Amino acid sequence: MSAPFERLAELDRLVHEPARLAIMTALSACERADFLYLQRLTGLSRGNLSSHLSKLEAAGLIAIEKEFVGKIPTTRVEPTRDGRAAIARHWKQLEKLRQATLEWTPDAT
Amino acid sequence: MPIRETAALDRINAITANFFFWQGLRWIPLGAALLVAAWSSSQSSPVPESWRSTLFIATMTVALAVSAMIGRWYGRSFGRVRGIPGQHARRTRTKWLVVYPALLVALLVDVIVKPPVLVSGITFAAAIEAYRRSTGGGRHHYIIVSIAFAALTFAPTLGLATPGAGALNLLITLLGASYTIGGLLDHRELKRVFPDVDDTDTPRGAVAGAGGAR
Repeated sequence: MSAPFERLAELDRLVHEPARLAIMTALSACERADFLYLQRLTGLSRGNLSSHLSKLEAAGLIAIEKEFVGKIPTTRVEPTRDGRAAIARHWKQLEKLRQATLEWTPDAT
Repeated sequence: MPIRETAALDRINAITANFFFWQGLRWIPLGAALLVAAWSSSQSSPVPESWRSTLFIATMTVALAVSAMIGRWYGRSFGRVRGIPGQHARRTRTKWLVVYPALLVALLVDVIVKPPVLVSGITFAAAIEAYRRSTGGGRHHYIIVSIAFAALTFAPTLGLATPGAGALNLLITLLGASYTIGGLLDHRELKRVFPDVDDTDTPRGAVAGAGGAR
């Protein structure tokens, strides 16, 4: 049985980064959200949020669509099927890790 | 991952899934309309009885229009979220099959039977707590609102209102006040969860920002 600390290495770093984890957690709870919503929710600057979204898009975890609502340009962000699976898997791993940490004693290794 | 951050992420999930219900300013016009309805139906009201229904319909129409305008403002200020189809199916089913019929039966009992306790009080208390829990939790002011409704159950027994119409009028007043004050507090909580956007490109902890105020 591996120690909980060793299991940390198994986590997907792309998703585990705090800002991206917050973005993916929000997106997993909806069909899609716009850029402003994600910006307000995470408190990130435009540039930082764009950078995180680009990384998630490049990994195929989200799809980004730009369109006009009236005369206002809007960026809509939608998690892909892979993205939903990745965040669900990640949360499962975190839950297992948490459980393992609670049960772990130095003698058990 | 620290428990505080996990809790913040749980909150992000809950708010995103229930974003509509957290837009508290939307409820204020509806609360005001209910307060007008309660005032116009009270014994001391100068509004003639024949005008009361018209006044209620007119204020409710204005309230719904203003509420829709506020909804558009939320979209411009906080962004837009589209929910997962069927995400609230269980909640909607419970609302229509259990909660609304229970409220209706309680109101009918209070109006027709006029018992010494206000059955609607405890029924509304349970409905409000069910609403709070099923729309993302948090918003602890609704627990106080629920307790107030539960206490209202004994208003006729304590002589604070006459059984029947008098007690119901008190219930509508409390409902209107709850919508108004609850809406303001919902908005305040939403503002605490959604930090103001700092558009200078300096790195900030996203998770800490989302849950830091809790």
